[in-house]
Amino acid sequence: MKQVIAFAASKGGAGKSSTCQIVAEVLSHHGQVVTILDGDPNEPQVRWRTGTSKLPITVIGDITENNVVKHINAVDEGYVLIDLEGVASRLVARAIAKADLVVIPFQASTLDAAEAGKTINLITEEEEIVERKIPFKVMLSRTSPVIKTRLETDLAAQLERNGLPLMRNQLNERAAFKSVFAYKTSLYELDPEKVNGIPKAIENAEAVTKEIVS
Amino acid sequence: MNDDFGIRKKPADRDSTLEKVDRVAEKLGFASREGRKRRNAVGPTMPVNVKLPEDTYNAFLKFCDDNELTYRKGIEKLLIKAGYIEE
Ligand SMILES: Nc1ncnc2c1ncn2[C@@H]1O[C@H](COP(=O)(O)OP(=O)(O)OP(=O)(O)O)[C@@H](O)[C@H]1O
Ligand SMILES: [Mg+2]
Repeated sequence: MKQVIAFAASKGGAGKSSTCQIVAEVLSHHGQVVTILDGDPNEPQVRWRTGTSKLPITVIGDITENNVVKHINAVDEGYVLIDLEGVASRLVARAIAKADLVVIPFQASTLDAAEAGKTINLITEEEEIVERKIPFKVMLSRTSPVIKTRLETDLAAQLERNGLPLMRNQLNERAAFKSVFAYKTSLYELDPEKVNGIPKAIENAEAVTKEIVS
Repeated sequence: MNDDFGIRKKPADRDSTLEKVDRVAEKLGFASREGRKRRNAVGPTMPVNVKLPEDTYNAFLKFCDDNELTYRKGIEKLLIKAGYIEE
């Protein structure tokens, strides 16, 4: 089985790299074969891999519009997660053309919602060219685990009315999700002496991942 | 060297789906970000003018054609393959 999941949102800082990394960790921890293609020019995933995590996640850097298809095709098993850059580019379009699923994270702000719309338009147009459905899931990111803001509720209702599949789970704002990059390790290997709320973060990460791959 | 074409032994079937994807993407503001300038920037150059046996000449042209390479890129590719220059 091979499953290609692209993390796309032309808005910078929407949470693509974080969500990609967290999903990779959960899948790998549960025994899945995971390859990350790091298409973020800052290469956060490549830098993460230089750390000490024992999770056998393969990270491939230097992903460009010219080699992304080749790299996707080269993997023959497991999950291929593509961390895309935060701009509208040919790289994004090509990755989407090869994806079995596109995850679009966005923060609850109206501006982000407009950017998500841009990505969804692209997906819809590409579906006609590749002559198959390209499923996508829109996910709110960096939300508070305790309070639901008014804007969040409004945006959810708006997406619902437009028939867009907003995910039930959201990647909450949590120190642990930042810490995996800071300490270059996984949620499962973080030091509880240094980072608060690891079990809650794992619970959140697993719920999000489950919903993405289901 | 930032060239992602591997050497292809048989003629490449042109990926027209990808071309269509690129076209639609461009229309929606998802354009190429690989500068053409950077691709062809080679620094100082020296000319080389050779007379080849017809067979060799034809084979070289076919090689460049099949791999969609300019003659310059074709020679470069072969030298990389032979280990004389680094990729
Ligand atoms: N769930 C979260 N909890 C805590 N911090 C987060 C979370 N999601 C993202 N962040 C932080 O927000 C910032 C932007 O997130 P991230 O790098 O994942 O976004 P991105 O969409 O990949 O951005 P870019 O478009 O620049 O690649 C980072 O500093 C990251 O640590
Ligand atoms: Mg990123």
